[in-house]
Amino acid sequence: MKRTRSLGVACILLVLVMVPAAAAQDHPGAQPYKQVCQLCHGSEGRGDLGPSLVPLGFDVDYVLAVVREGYSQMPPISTRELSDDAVRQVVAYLESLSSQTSGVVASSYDGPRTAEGQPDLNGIWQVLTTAAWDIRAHNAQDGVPAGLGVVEGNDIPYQGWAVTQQQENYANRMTADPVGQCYLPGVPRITYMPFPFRILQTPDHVIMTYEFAHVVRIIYTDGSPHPLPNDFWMGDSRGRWEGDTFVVDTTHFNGRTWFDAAGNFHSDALHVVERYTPTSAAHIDYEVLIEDPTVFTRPWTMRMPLYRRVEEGLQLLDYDCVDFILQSLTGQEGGAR
Amino acid sequence: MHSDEMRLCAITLVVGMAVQPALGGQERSGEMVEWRYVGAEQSQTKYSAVDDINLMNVDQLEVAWQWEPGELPLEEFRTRPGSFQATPLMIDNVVYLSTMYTRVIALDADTGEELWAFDPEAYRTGPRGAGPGGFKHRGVAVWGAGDDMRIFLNSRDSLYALDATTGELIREFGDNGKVLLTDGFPNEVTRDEFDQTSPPVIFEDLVIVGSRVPDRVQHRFDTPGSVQAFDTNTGERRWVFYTVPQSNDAFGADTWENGSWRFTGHANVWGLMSLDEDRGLLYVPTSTPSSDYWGGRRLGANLFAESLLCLNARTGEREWHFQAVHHGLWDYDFTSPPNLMTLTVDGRTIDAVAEISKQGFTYVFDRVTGEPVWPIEERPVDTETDVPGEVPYPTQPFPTRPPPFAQQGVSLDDANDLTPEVHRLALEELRTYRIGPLFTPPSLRGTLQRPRVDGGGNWGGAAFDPTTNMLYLRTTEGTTSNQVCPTDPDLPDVDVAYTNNCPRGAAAAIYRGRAGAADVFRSRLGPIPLVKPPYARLVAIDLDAGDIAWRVPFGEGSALLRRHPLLRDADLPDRLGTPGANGLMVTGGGLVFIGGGDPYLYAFDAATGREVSRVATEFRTSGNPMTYRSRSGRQFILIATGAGPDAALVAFALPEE
Repeated sequence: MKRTRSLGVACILLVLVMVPAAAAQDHPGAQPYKQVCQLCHGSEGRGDLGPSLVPLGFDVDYVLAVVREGYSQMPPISTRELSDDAVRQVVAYLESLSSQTSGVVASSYDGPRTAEGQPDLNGIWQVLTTAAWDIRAHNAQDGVPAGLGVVEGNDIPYQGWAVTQQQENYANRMTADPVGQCYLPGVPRITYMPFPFRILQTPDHVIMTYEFAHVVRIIYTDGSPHPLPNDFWMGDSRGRWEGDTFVVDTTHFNGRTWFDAAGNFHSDALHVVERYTPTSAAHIDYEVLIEDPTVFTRPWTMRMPLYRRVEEGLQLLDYDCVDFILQSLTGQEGGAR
Repeated sequence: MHSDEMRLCAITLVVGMAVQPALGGQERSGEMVEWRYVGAEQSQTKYSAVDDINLMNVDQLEVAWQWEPGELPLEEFRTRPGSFQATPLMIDNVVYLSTMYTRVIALDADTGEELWAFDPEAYRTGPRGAGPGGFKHRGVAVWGAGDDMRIFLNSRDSLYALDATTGELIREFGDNGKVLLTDGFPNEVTRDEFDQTSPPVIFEDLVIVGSRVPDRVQHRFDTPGSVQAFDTNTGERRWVFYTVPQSNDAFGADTWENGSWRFTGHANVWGLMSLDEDRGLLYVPTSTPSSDYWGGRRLGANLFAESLLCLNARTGEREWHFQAVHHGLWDYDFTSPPNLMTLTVDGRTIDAVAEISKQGFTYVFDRVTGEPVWPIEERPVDTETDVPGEVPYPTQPFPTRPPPFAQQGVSLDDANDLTPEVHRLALEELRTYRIGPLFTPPSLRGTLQRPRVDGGGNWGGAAFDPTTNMLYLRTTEGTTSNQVCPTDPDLPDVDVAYTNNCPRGAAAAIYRGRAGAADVFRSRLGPIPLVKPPYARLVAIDLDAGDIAWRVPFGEGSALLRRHPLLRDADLPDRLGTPGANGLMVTGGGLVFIGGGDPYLYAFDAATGREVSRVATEFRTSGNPMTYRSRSGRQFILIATGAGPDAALVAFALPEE
């Protein structure tokens, strides 16, 4: 019952010195990660019993506290098992993995800027995905084009009960989809509806107007916080610039919207972080982080490009969904309200 | 250890006998002072009169020696050592303790040198009986004196008798030194589910043990809690008392509707018991019946769960009892060792027993008659519930004195406000729970209960200074979610209709990774509590007056909070409070020593509650501190620290001249 593990750590540290940090598996933090963390957090930080660690989202000081004290089901790990330096290496390793997975974002594109110096995103944009029908990979059906999906790993980490709920939603999608009843689509579904939308930048807020159902999002960039809890179909959005990326944090959803027409859903605890990064004059990398501890076991990500609509004289037209519903209910022509 | 060395210690011991060891209460300067029981005495004072280390010099404490159990996870048995929780004994300059894997160790009290070790190979029983944190054990008991002194170890389903000098099994005791504790039990219990964590009580020629089955196991016909006495010489069972009545005519059977006494288990006796040696009265704290959070299959008050029982130590017959929680739904086990003392209340001298509790009350009784020293009122409580089959009990007992030492119940005003953002998130999350006063029933969406299931006073218990009649305790503050939901059929060990295997229920984390386990809810606040600090307090209660004398935040708290991104710019108090179940001791040096949860041993002024100093440990303190003056005349303070492979018993002393 004698301890042999400090020797193990010494060996790891020796390896750290000798191996140059090139590919991820050669990273000096990869070895201690494998030895101590991988059993629960999965290979390359992708999560298993424990949560995914990519992107990490915490600084070294905090990670050291978690490692030393343990948290939730994670046991404390002593300096004998994993030295402070080894923890720092592991953090660097996980950060290198994070920057690889979001590598597209590290764009070298430097285009036109606004008077405030931010990338100029003004204009009309639209996605070219099938996410509005199903954000996961899906086969073609009548009226639904096939798609490869926009969810990273194609895996939505539903809690057990939520898997059943989603299947139920899917079975009833023709009648249960809130958009089918013309409710507002919520965020991020509004972005990938098959309709164009306009981005309008001002110094203290960004306005996004959508052809679908006249939706308007006013995204304050003046540093103001979310208001006290209140429920909105489209949530409450606050934006900020991180370098050339426009980051929009949205909370306070009413929990009644879906992510797509396939019944993928969330609760009112939904927290959405959208990242708009221009990668050329005509492309924005659009990444969405979804958090909802009531429905999912961990945060997850969607990604797709936004394309600039370049047709001459293009403008947002009118898709008045409520009117169509009224027509179908009354059998009368719309437009006379 | 070689036989030569063994002879040498035997000689040392015999020589030691010549000097009559002084008792804790009446020490003279320089003489050896022992600590004979885990709680100092079987009345559980956790008090030592030794005052060499005192208010004037405690800041000079340094590590004198350190001993490491060196126990590792064992893959072949799927076991792992958990938290190191033993309180050592010191008798005749030898320190005796148990380890996580319930090995018994004898150490030289001056040097920490290992004299002998006994390994019952408890890991061979597998991991199921241990809690989710792994194997743990809290100490051993001693019987006899001189060259017929025995160490009793209760480990898993067995009781061992060891020669205190050599660590060898006493072959005349039971079956070659060991008796099986579960023989003849009314409901079958497998050895891998039966467990012992707290040390036995010794009375005349009896060794008395409690019992424990993990809360995780929730079956019909689980074994009921028990107290058993065995002959210290032969190992013969002399009596057994079940904490759940075992026949329709037995006292208390009518508190189990539909004959549910027949198949309901637990009401464990996992905390330490106390003994009035002169009167032969045994005080037994009991836990929640199974299952902890849903009582639809055990309607009624459920005697003698969550009760303080007074038993005749010679016969096991019940003298009196007090039930603190009727039809328990909150896991408010009685876990603290009952403290026995003599009080002077309004001019009356009362031989009393005081029981501190998870729910934050101190229940004080005349320990002979069971009469409350101050009235305990039966008051109506909220019985509304959305849980199918549940019928919460309409009243619960509320002591009128002393006042509660812990914060009880939750309202939106309690929302953590360390920063505006934390306050917003805390309010948002609080609104998703059912909240209310103490004893608000569990619910399908989750009831937030305060104190926590592991809150208030826990197994570490209180310390009592008989020279001042002050009771000292640490209370863990904060909330836990009490959510129940329909049981997943894949879930092992559970056959009740509703259990806490839900995203916001305690079992989800325990079962994690297994078939049928619920996914764990993740708060957006992460480790930041929903309610305001402090998360632990040190409390002094004047038990003659029935009043709280002082109450101060205890412990610097978790680095998880200090370094959390949401609190990076917050102005945090120096003492956020360190939650934990372990306890404290009080000494003639006017000091309360307390560890637990962070890597320090703290010393407080027993009179005022001022934190005098603290000394760092490599691992987090995890046991109750104890103290003695060794044969060489030096006062030591010992405390178990750490968990698993990273554990150490640390001995502190003043620098040698």
